[in-house]
Amino acid sequence: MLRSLWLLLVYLTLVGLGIAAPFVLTLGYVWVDTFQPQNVAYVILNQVPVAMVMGGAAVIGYFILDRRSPPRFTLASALQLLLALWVTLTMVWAEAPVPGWEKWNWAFKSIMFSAFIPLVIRSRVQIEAFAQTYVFSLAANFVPFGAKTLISGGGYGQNLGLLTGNSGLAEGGLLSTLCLMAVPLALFLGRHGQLLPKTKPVRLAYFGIAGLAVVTALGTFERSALIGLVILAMYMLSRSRHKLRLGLLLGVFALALVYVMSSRWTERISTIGDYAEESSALVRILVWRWTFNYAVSHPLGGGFAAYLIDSVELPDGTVEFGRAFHSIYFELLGEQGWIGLGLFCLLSGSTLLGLRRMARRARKVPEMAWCADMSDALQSALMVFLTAGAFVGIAFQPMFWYFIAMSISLREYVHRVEQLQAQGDGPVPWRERHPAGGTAWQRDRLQPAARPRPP
Amino acid sequence: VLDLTGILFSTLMMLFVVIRAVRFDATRPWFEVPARPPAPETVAPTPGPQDVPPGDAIIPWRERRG
Repeated sequence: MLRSLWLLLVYLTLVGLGIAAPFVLTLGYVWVDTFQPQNVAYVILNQVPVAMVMGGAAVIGYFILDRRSPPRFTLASALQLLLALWVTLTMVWAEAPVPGWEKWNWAFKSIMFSAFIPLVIRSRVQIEAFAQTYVFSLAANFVPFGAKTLISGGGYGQNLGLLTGNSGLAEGGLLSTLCLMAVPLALFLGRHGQLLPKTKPVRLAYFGIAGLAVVTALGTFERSALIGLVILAMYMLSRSRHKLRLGLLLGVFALALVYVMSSRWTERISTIGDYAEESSALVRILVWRWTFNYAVSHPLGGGFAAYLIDSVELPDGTVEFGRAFHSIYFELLGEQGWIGLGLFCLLSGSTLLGLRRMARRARKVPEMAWCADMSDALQSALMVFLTAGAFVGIAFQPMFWYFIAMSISLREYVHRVEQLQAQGDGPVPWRERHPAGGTAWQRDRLQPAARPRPP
Repeated sequence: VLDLTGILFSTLMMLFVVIRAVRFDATRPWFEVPARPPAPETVAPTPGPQDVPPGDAIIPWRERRG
């Protein structure tokens, strides 16, 4: 009961703060979507459409109170909208319309809300608050999970987190991928965060959060988690300025992992090599083959939940029906066809390339070092998703879309700063010549910080 | 107990961060333009003999000798 009342208080606080600063409503939606208080509370919040109320308030709040300094309409935004349109269109010829519309309901919202976020999250403070909200919301799941793993050793299929069942964050594949994606973001916040005091304990706390996220990922005994962890380590190493130090640290961590993890974990992970005999891996390969053949004969895809019509024959002659895709790429191929897969790959690729280009520019300016480091963190997280996700069907889970939104917000921030800097080189802009003029937001928000004045 | 710890840690930190964000959002500029290095002609000249306080001035050997 106390837990439910506390969560209600948190929810109402976010709504209250959102009236004063509308961007908080968007953060509130991120919290509701990630923490899922409706599934944790026992009373009140579990009977109210909390996500709909917060999401609706965020959109209304933006259009009425906060429509300032809108971002450009970028390629990423166009691809998001095209994909949202395409997933709606494929429902016209959906193989399984009833469960398909159910999935469309949340997948469509994930894409559209991620397209909306860059409108609201514009300044450095807002971008950091978004990242912090995401990490701390997810921490509600991986802090207890990680602690329980340290005590019990974890286990495959064991639900040690906050949520029950076998879907969403209660599912090991999704939880482990999201935890690994949160690691570079937590390390970035520990280094460049402004919203929490910059003290050694705070920095150590972020290291602790990142550590618990890794322990949680390993504690799920998911094989995709190990693949994600290797990719994360390699990508972070390639982006690091202290390669030798980080390399040594990762080497020590890998050795410790071998000794510390239980034999159950080693047994489970060693089945990666037995994909031809291990039933779970074999079924995946057979489902992927079925999906490829299906996409050849149905290039426009079969709409959401198309996996329900698949059938695979195992070597012992038994036939299994309706097996999930277990891969973001085959999920997109089977459900959204070649066009959907192409849009997704184009969006992921253009986001990664855009982040790299932006980081290269930002790194040259000491004041923009945080943008370059955040870009590296987002790239690492996206690489984890794109590799570990090859073995888990989580393409439309909102967290990937949050990272895409965060990337757009960051790139737009750098673009605005560059634009302001370019203006500073030319004639003095009107709003600086007339400081009392201009709209309120121009006066309040677009004032350059620490611009050198001519003597 | 661990679940409750997780919930409390997560929500308290999130609220703390959001409240600070609201305060900073109202007081700080949204887009911070990095300071450019000053142009060469505006660089202050290095201190010459005329800028040195009288007590610290180094008197040339010839002048000291008269």
